[in-house]
Amino acid sequence: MLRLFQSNNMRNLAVAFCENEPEMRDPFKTSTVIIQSFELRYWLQMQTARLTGISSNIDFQLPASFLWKLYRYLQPEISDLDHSPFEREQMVWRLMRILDKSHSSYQDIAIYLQQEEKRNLRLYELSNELASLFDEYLMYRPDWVLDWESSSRISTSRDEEWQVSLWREIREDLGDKSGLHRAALHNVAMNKINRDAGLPWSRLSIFGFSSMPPLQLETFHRLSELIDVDIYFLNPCHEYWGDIVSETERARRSLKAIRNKPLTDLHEDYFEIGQPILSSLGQLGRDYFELLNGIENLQTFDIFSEPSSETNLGYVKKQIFSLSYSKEKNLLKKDQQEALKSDQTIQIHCCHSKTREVEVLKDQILRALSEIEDLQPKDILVAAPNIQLYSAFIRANFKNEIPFSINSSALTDDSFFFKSVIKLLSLPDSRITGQEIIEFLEVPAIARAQRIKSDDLEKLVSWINDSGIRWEIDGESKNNNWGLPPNDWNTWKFGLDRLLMGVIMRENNGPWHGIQPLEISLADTPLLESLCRFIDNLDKLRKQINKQYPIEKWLEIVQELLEEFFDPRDSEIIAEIQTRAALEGLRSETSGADFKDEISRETFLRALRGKIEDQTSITRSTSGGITFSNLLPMRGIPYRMICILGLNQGEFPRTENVNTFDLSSGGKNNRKGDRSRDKEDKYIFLESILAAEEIFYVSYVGQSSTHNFSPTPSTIVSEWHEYLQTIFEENKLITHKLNPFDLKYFRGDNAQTFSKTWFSGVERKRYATNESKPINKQTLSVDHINLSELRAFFGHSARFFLQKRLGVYYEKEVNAIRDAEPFEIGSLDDYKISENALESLKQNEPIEDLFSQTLHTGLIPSNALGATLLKKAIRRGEAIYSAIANELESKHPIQREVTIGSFKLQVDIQNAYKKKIIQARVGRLKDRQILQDWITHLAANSIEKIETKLVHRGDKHQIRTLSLQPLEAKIAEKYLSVFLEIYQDSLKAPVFFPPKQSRALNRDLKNGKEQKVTLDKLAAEWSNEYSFSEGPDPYWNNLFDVTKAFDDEFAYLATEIWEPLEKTLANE
Amino acid sequence: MSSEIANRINLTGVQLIEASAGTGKTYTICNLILRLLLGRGNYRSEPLAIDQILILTFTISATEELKTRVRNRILEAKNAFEIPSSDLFLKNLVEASPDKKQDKQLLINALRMVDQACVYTIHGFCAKVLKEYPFECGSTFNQEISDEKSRFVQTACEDFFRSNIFSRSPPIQKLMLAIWDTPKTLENSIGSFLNRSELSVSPAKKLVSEAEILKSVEEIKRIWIEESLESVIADSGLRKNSRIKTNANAMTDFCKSTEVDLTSELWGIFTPDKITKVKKGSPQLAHGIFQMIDDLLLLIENYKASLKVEAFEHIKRDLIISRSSSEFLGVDDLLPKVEDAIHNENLSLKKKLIEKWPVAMIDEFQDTDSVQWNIFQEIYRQKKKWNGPVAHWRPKTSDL
Repeated sequence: MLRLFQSNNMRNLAVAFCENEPEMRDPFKTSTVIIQSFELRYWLQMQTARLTGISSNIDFQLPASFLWKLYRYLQPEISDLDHSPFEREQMVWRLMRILDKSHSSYQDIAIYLQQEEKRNLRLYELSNELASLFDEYLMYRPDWVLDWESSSRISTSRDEEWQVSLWREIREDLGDKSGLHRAALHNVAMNKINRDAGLPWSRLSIFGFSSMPPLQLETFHRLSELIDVDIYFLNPCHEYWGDIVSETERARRSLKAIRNKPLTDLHEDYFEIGQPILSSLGQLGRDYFELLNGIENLQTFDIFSEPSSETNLGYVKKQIFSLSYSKEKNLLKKDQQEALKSDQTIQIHCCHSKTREVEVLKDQILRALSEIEDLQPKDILVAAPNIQLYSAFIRANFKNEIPFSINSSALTDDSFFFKSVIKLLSLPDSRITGQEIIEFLEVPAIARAQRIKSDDLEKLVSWINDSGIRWEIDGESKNNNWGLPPNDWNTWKFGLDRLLMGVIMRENNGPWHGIQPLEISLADTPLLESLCRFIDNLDKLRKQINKQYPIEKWLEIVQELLEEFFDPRDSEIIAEIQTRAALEGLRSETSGADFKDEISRETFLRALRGKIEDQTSITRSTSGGITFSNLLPMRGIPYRMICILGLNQGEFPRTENVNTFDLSSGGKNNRKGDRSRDKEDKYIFLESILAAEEIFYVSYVGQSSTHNFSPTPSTIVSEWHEYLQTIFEENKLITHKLNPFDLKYFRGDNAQTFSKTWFSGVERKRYATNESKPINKQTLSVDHINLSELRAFFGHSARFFLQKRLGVYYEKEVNAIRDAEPFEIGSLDDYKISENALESLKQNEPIEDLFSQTLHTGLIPSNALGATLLKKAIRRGEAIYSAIANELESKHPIQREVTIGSFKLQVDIQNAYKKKIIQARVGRLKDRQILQDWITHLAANSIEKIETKLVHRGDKHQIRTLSLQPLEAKIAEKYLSVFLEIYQDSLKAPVFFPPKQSRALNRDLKNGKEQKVTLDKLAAEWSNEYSFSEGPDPYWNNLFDVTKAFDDEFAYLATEIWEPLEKTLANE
Repeated sequence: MSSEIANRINLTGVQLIEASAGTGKTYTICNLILRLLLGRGNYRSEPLAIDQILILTFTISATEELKTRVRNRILEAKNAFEIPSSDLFLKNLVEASPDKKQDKQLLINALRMVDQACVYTIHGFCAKVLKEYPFECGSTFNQEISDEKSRFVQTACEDFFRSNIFSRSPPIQKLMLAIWDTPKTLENSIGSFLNRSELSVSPAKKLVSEAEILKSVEEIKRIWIEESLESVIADSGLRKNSRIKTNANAMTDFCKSTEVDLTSELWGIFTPDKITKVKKGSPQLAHGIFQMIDDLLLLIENYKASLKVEAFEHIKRDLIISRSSSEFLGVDDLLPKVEDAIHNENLSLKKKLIEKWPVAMIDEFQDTDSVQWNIFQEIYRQKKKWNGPVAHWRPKTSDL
């Protein structure tokens, strides 16, 4: 007997299921349930346990595997076959073998495989596509396949011709197993299912399908003649809705009609559009519904429950339920209308980006949790067409705040285990950059196997940078893999040699045989050893896998790789087991298909990837938190709140690539019951509306964060929005602001954010103003001031304040690993080399050593030009040295503490000589440097009368010298106290004093310019300055409002500080 | 632009609409779409579905706008069948209708399917082709297509430095680095030419050899020293501060040193040109060496040109290899890939694309570059007729 239980509520179906299963009452009897998804199975188990007290001995089966069981039962001669030889997974390899041999007899395929490049991979991928195609034919077009076999079908196209002969070849290849495919077995089964069959099942339940291939349904129908078969169907509507069609469908049919028989029979209104949501989204279920209703002797049991229309969501469900379409207002009384105004059960959010979607989602979830009594995170489902695109934002926003789990493919999961396996097998494509190695070692399982701790990584990064490692193992691999000159410079060998040499040799003693040692601490040698071994192993693996091997050998390689490179713990162990299972899967498929050919690494990688994806896409168990997952078909599991993100056009409904040679697609070949991604996705949306018990939430990116343009929402969302607008006469769409800290979110209404971070930030003023409160003195003592601190402060007062007082640093990370070796000497490196040269000469060290040591650091291009450039840089240092060499006799550093007013200043001047302080610089002299040297000069002169010489590079590479004349101690102290007072004030509130601009101001004022004019000019020029000169940078710009900072106070300081300096400064 | 245009345009072959901004080019495109939807082409009366018309423009925001305009225009046209419209084009459209009921129905159909209108950017179109027709393109089925640029060009330029420039003899290396100091400079100067398959490069092969140049340098140096050109110049009666005179000593040093510097500014000072400028007809300065230097400079210029060709070809070769061997494609790689597939006579891509879209329209055609033009010219060129009398046409619009 075939019974249909239909309801608009999944819970009703579960109740009916428990009541109908007599086996439930006998723990020793097995109930067999055909079910499509893991989640639904889990949910049904939980429901059964709740309703009956226990859920046990239920045999859940996927329809395909149940049918194979049935076939085996009916045909004892195949009872020892676990899989059909026509199963897609095996068929891939069989096809690959066949096509490799005989592709020349298929013209199109021969052309496709013509090119040598990646031929093996293309062969595999084509086989993969064809295997899926034949699998679909067997399921949805069994009659074609049988006709092909009996030669009773005339090919209608070139594509069909070659597919028929390929099919024959497959059958020949399979020999006596050539009849064991679904189409043939189905026919046999249909004949054998009779009273004599003695089936092992007495009843079957088919739970929660919203569509089913006609072939399967036919089998179950036939079975129902012998045993009881119960179908549980989630039916959104209790009216008959088999003949309503969507607008698009109607358009297509109409166009076809006009084309075929113009001017006649235009029955525009023949097809009912009816309830717009049901007609536009429900086609998939409707086809199934029609198939079911076409079955004779079907007993139907309606267990519908009418949705309550108290909320907006309930009202929509009720409309769908009753196949009606009317405006809400007409039906409700005034007070009810009022109550619905604040209704939040249906929400549409339009955001600027994926990040914003997740931020908005979090706020709305928090609101729901705070407003709805006993709502738990586990009652919330968040889905997206591709949740993987959101996982980073989800983690960033929800971690440590609301429990959650993300169900997505394992290839993207947290542990990076699978990704690393894939990456290791992709090594031949890689140039082995420093960054890639660090990324490997960031994976805990890999680091553990190499005995590298996570705190070691920082050290490794600095080793890579300092030793000049950029890419490739050594010169030889550069040559073999990329056809480049076999030059070791900037390779791993180059850098590791430097580090190893550094264990036994001092840097000053290098280079030895062209290796400049890089000293490391002796305690770090085990780490270095681990690193060397790791690189070595990677190199070996890389060389090994850059070949073609039979699949057996590939499996062996991966098994060794798992041993060698991974030491998994916790969840990584599961990942490792899954990887091994994937390998086992590949082994049995290929041996089943008798496939022994050698395959390329790319092919193996693609196959392994596919296998891992297949195996791990089965969702892992729920965690008690919010569930994030992909939008999946055939679930319809009730959740109290369902949110769908990323509903943009092009992304949802998801598009499915149909191969052009697919005979079952395209216009006239479509049949009722065919699979279609488009219909499936639309039905998922409909199921989600029904499954949402309290809140149904959708969001999409409908605004651009960079341009004034609006990305389009999915058509489904547009239709949904339009529909809601019609029935509620109210806009359900919430358009969000670009930033989460927009004032809109702080007004205490429905848009109020729950974010504490932004709340505390929102009221702060951005710039320091005269009215801002000074910071308390706190820890920084101003009694004892170091001369170097004073110098640093006047070099850049904003940077000093932010770094020293607030601990704010805007510098870009210096430790970024670079991918390519130097092709020139960068200007900063160039300057440093000149400076080193000057320093070495001052220390009387031989300059040749500096040359050869620097040459082998990897900072210099490896060609002849590198050496020339290096020489030039050193020569600049030498030139400055020669200008000061004569002055450098009898060094006598000035070290003392001086008391100036209430301040005690620690003075330590090393570059002081007899009667002179020498401030030598290899570059040009900047205004801030003059200012700093002036401070030193003042400090020195408060102790003894002494001249300062400022030697530097002028225009046209000449050496220039400025001098600061000696001062009386009293005068020096007077000037110095100005600096000290400003410094003291600056510890309470920031001081705006850019040296270059203040000097320019003082000069202009002295030349008789008007103060106001000059200040305006400086403010205007500020933004035109290059940053990192002495102009605008994040420190100045974040601390001060530049339109106001050039004020009278600034002008006063400029004169007070620069005027005495300029007087003392003399050109030489 | 008058509404007449859209009626007068022949809907076969390749058509170009050229007009200045704001004169209604997009309006015309919408009208042409109406004609196609109603089967009012002058080739065949079968009405097209909206997803059979390929509409291309240049930015994503322009595609969004075009979609809206097309939709609104169809809506207007549908309404014109109910309430007489003042729009001349629509008026004609309604008046010329052989069957008003059917035409209105066709427009209603088009409205219902309007979200399936094929309005793309050229890159979007290429990405779609590569994804949906891998078999016809001869590519793998799972290529990853990114919105960003791939690193292929950058790597190719770096590799040219590594394998070519850095392994040259010092003088040539210096000469090359004077053209491009870093791979980045090379990438900037060469990047925009790489994807233009129609460019033919001249000179096709090296005109000058390295040895020839070095020989000439040696010769000049030898003569300068042996015939003491410095003193010849000193006695030539040139003004004291003449650049020729002040640099003669430096030139002697330069000729004495073993280093060969082809980029030195000194060469340019001692050419006959410069000499006749300051001192015409001086017998001392009629020395043959100056002509030799001039010839050398020409050699160097030619050699530089051949170096540029060499770099171009080297990088292009690398690029083709990386594009075919990588599973990952960046934005820049899409067009060349599709172009290759369309030009490959063995593949059936062209045929499949025409089947899918018998008509294509390109808005903002002035932005089309030669690769893009090649692609569409190749698809829609009427070499042989396809499936009977359907013809392909493409209006283009252009700002001048």
